[in-house]
This record gives sequence, structure tokens and C-alpha cells, in this order.
Amino acid sequence: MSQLRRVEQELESHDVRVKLVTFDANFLARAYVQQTHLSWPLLVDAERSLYQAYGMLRATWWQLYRPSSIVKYLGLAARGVLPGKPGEDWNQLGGDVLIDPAGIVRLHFVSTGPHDRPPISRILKLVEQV
Amino acid sequence: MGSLEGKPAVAYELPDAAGHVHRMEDDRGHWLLLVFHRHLG
Repeated sequence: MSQLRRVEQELESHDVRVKLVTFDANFLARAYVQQTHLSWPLLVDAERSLYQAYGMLRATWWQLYRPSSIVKYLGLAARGVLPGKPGEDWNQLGGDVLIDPAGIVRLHFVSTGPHDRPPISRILKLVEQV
Repeated sequence: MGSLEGKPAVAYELPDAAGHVHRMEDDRGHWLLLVFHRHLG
């Protein structure tokens, strides 16, 4: 998310609208928006219908706890970003979908691990190509 | 599931955290980046 926020103005200059999607409950979504001062809409997909429509995966135990993931968690913790609370669904993975002005999917990125995201440069390149 | 690149985007109608409803069609004519979160933690 911090990666995206760093290029917020650049995305705006290319007329890219950003919408975040969560499966968490509405009250958690509201709290998240307040805590992070999020400027983009946070859509609540409680039924996960859009997650399923775009084939977002669920993580295996190994994907969550392999050494590279643990290193990432430690790095985040060092920056004050603590892991989720017990009871949260840690297995649902995310992803990114870039849709062009005609409504055609130009990037369909399904994360294969908790920290697997496409480079922002890839998104900007796709937008700039058209 | 295979890649959906080059295919029409999936239509949706979802509320945001403030309760406003967003539809896929609202953003037609603009680029749209949908960022699917893991848990908000």
C-alpha cells in the first residue's frame, strides 16, 4: 500500500482511479480508513464474490510461514506494522487488477504469497503504453 | 483460473466503508486499479 501511495499523484496524472477491496467486516474497514487516512475508496466484498471472480487464492501454511515470509513480517514489525489479530483470516491472499477505460482487463495479478505484488512500474508502464 | 487479461472486466456492485455503492460502470472511460487486500489487520 505504501508503494502505491508514493505514486498517488502519478496515478492521478494518468487518470487511474484506485479502489481497494477488502473481505473484512464493514466496521473493520471503517476503522482502517480512519487509521490510515485512506483517500481511495475501500470496497467491502464480504461475500468475496469479486475475490472469487478474479480467482484470488488462499495461502497454504508454507506460503505464510516460509523463511522469506517470516523475514518480511520481521521487517514490517520493525517499522511498527504488526501482524493481524487472532481470528482474522490470514489465508486469503490478494492481488491487483488493472482495467482500461474500455473496461478490458490489462493486468490480472493473483498473489501467490502474502507479500507478492506486481511492481508499480509494471502498472505505470501499462498505462503509459496506451 | 487462467489470466483474464484481454477480457472484459467483471461487473460488480459493492459498498465502500462509508456505505456508498460502487459499480464497475462508474469508472468506464477511466483506468481503474482494483487492489485486493489480505486481511486489514
